[in-house]
Amino acid sequence: MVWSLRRGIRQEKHRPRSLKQGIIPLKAEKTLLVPLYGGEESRVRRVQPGEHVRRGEALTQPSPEVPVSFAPVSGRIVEFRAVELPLDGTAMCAVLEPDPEEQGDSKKKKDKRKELFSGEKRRKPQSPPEESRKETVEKAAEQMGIVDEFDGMPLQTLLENFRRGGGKVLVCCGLDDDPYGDSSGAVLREMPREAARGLQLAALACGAEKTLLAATSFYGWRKVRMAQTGVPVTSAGGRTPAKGLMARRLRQKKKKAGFIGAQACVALCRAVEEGVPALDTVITVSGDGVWRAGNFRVPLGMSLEEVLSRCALYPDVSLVYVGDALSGKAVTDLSLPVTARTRCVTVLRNPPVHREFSCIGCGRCTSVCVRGIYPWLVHDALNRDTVDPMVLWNVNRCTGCKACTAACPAGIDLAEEVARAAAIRKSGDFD
Amino acid sequence: MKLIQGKAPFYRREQTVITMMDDVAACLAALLVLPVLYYGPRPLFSAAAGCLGGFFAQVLFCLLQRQRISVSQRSVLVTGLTAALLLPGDVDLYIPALAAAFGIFVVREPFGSLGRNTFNPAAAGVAFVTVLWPEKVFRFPGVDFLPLWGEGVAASRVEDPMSMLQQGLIPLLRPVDMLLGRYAGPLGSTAALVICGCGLFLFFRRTARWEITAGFLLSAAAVAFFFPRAPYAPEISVAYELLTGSLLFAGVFMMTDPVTSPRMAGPRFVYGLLGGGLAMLLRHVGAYEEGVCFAVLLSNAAAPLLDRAGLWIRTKGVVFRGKTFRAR
Repeated sequence: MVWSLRRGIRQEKHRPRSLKQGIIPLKAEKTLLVPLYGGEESRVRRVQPGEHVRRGEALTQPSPEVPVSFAPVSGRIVEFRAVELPLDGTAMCAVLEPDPEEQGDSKKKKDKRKELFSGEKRRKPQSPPEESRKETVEKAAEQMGIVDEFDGMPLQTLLENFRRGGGKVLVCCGLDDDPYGDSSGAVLREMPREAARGLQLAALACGAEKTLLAATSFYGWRKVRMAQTGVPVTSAGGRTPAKGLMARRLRQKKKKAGFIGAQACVALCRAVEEGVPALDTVITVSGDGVWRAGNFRVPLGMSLEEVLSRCALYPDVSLVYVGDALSGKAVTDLSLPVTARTRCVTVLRNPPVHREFSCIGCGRCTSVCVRGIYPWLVHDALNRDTVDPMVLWNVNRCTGCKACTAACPAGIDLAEEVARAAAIRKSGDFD
Repeated sequence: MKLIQGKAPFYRREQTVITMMDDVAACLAALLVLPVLYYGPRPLFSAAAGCLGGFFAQVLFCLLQRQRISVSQRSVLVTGLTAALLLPGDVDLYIPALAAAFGIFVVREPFGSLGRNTFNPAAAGVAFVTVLWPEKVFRFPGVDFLPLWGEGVAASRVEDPMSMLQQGLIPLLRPVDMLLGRYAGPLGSTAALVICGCGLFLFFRRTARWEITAGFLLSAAAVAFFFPRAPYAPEISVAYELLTGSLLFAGVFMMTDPVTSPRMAGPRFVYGLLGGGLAMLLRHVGAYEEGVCFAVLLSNAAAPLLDRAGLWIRTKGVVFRGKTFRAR
């Protein structure tokens, strides 16, 4: 039963208790598919097939548009292959065969890590002068392969956009719009201090006036608050789309907000303070089709099949999707890799079945939209012979959160229609 | 393991068109409880007749159109129950059946079924039978056990507040009777307390929108306050006008039908104001003692215009004292 007169949707969460038990690191034992963004051109790639790479070695040249890719484990590059990734589009991927001796004891690994960073001295957390610190952060954001886990944008671009847009508040976003998963929330809960430090570094680089840590649930809010990070903590209130609703609230207070994922904040903190590039990501594997749900830290490029094999699947699984429930993509090929945008892998045995009716004009889509769009009006306009330009006046504001589709009792894919209307408005062809 | 290709969003709210219709049908069924206590099982026959009339009209239309017969459509149930509840408890069974059938067969289905009709089917059906048999539609039985077949004993003039109000006389009803519906009137639209409870339920579920009902009751109360039909105090006039007859029922169940009402919040309120004003106007100058169904139909016709006006204000803004007010 949904009782509500407020904006947004109240999602009923189906999160098992095991998601609260920290983040479990997983080691890659099988072949990895490491996405090389911009790696279609051979001059961008720094390695050749057959070459051996060490953990943390850069695989592509630094570039301002795309993040640098690093080898998440030591191993041998077998080949380069173009792969259709569910969330990131087609990308060239390096097929990486991990070294068998990589899975040694922890002491050996520690030595290796020491060896890895012997070239440049590990920076100790201290506060150098602000100017040089800003440069360090910008350099780390550009060269350490950090990607925002929510929109897949390189951190450098994100900070640049925030600075150009005249943003005021920079929010570390631990908000997951998914009934099953909470990977960013888990990162914020487990590593609040690192997230807060990363956020402050990012704020320094882009000149934000205020910083804010945003947790979804009361549990997460309390845990982050108890860590006493020195950055104000807020709870988004658990309604969907959490990020959009929070941006709306801040906009109403005349504070333009920018959002950085919690994982990107932690990665930035590590990159600046320890000099470690982004080599792994935290994902939630959950849903009614897995026996052992949990938050896992996995190397980038690990195949979904290998991840799911550690979680004990039920035999009658019928739907697997990556990303959150509103904007995720279904996956039929489990050999695809985990990328920075994956965040949640949800495995369902009984996917929901939907029926479509004609629009009855209940206005729920308008009441959930955080951008003030009238999706029913767009739906009505697109089903006529000629589209009235007047009704498409604000469709270009759509952030693609798909809350309207989720809320529609008639089961109409309103988000798609709004996107179509935005394309029509852009093209100017209303016939 | 065979994986299927799905499409986002993988999460949807549980409320669908079917559950919304179920909410309304459940509320209408709840309105039958008190009449059954007062009149015996006869009101159930009337409700069943309404539902069956609507159902057969639906099946007939599907057969004529060679469509698949969709028996699971709850909206037929809603139309049938609404038509029955607006009529007297001892009315001949063919009248609610015909009202529901007219609503479904003429007013809803030819326009493309649920979601595309311009007029409220139940209101149109009841208006149709009102025009055909006004003497049967406005002949209310007294509060007493009704025979299972045939007509009951008609209420005396003193017991029928609607006809008294129309003649400019003061009905004498106890407040408790008005709230619980123990007086001669339409079958399900007399128990004001139950209607208010159902209304709150529907508003919290967002199945019905509160703006419409608020506007409707506000303008009806305003008309009753300033233009009482009988020589009594304005606040007593408001109580009698709102609590007797089917005004409250129409404000909660018929005006709020999402298909036929405007879809923006501001226009919805204006639509409610218009409906309430028209209902009171038809009570004052109309030929019949109750004209709510006609008021609902007239405001249905204005709904698309109001939406258009709302959109105009939203996009272009309104100029007031040299300032342009525009929604953000």
